[in-house]
Amino acid sequence: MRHCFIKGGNLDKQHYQEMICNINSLIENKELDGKNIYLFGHCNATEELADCLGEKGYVPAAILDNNILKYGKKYHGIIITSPETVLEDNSEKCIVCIAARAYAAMSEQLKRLGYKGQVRKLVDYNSYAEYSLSGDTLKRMKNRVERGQKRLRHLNEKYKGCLKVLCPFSALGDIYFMMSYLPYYLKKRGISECAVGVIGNGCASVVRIFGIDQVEVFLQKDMDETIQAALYEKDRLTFIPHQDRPYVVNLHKALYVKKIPLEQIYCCGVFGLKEDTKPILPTGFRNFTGLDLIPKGKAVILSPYAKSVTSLPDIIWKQIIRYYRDRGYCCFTNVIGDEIPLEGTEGICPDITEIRSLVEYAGTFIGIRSGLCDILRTAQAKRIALYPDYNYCDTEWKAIDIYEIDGWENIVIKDDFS
Amino acid sequence: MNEELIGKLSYDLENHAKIVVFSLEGKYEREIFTIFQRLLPDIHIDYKLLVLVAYSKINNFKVYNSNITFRSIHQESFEILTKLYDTYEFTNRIVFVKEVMQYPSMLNYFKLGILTERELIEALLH
Repeated sequence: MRHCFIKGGNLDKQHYQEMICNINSLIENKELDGKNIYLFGHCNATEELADCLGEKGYVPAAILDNNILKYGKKYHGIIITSPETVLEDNSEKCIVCIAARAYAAMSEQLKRLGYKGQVRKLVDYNSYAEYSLSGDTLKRMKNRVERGQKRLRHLNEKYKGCLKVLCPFSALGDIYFMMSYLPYYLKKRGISECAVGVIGNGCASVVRIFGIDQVEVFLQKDMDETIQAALYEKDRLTFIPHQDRPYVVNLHKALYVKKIPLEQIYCCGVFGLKEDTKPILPTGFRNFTGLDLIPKGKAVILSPYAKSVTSLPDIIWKQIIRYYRDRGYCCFTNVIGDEIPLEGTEGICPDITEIRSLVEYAGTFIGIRSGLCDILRTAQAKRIALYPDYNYCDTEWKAIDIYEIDGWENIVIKDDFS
Repeated sequence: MNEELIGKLSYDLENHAKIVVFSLEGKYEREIFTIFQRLLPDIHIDYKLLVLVAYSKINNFKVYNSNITFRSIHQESFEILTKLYDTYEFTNRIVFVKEVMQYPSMLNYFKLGILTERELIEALLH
């Protein structure tokens, strides 16, 4: 799921480090001293930015956002308000910091509003955009296309005659839905073979559980450049199956006028298939190797972490853990890398291909609504998805409107935890 | 790149809030353009909108809202413009209405009856 697809997008390690480095640089250069700091784009990355600044003693004056439905709400005491608010301040004493993907658009919006103060990009994760038509920019972007063309040529040689399915974003749920409908699309186009390009090994595992072994794992920057080259060359054997990436894809605009659930976005929007098309189910799951450590039917697998979903307050998880422990259940936290298990639980780190067997054996899964829930949507267990109460991007729809899962208990956690 | 065209595009971006580019090359795109023209008078547009139309046999479009400008462009200009758009995202205020093999389009929703004509045009203009 995207950046602000589920509200914002927790930064991955690399981008988080980049943001910290840029904040430190702003502080060292005294660019924040005596300035009213505004953040633009209320997304998870911006919340992380606000937290980082707060830890260093800098409290932002406001979070600017284009979604009117958010106005008046607060994040850790910082008011969310319209971008025009910054114009009420003395621009010489302002700095707008942006950690959102839409930096180029936001920066241009501020300029068009008449804001003349400083704007700083804290994280660079949209290599497609540079809102300039200068000769320098054109040259730089043309060079970027040429780098992509080399990679595209390499792919074409390696996968002759195959459709190259290039997934522009690292999100398990997107890949899951994409794979659920891809075979129909291939049939529609009369193509028998494909190779799927993804970002990260997790997404590659999702492709493989659907039985496709021709998978190429990319770095984000390399994927961006390869996709750009495919657009530039109008390569007929490349398809980019996403709802809002790269910038040329406009499917997400439909959400400003109509509620369209994620599965329908993929089936109908991305692949142009009829609504009643039955999704292909994955068959490549394996058994978790440590099942003997789990009490069968008396364990809960908790999933509080997700790359692209804002976190839920600790108190929610504490209540859930207490509830289950009081009833004699063992509680486990699904963790990856250096993620810390929730207090009162044991950490467990199954591979994506193993998680379904683990959940079925344990009997209960409770997780923040992330792509992992999509991987588990057909698991035979009690399954609960928790939704932070926020709007999908700047649309009028709530996350649950887009992501609700049939057959699951879907629970929205309001700001007051009700 | 054609410097004159880039200069003109910069000017148009400076002076319009949104640019919609139609190619009337394909049957389907022509159909969408017909719908667009028919519904536009009923859609509230309070910003400067420029509609560029390629492969058109018409040069004079009916104007009913002073915020909206229609302009025919030559096939060559259209191709340079699309090439530029395929090189990088230079703005988020330009929309190309065309079906492309490499990526999905909102037109899929319209074809499948998920979006009505009016919803399609409103979404394109959002």
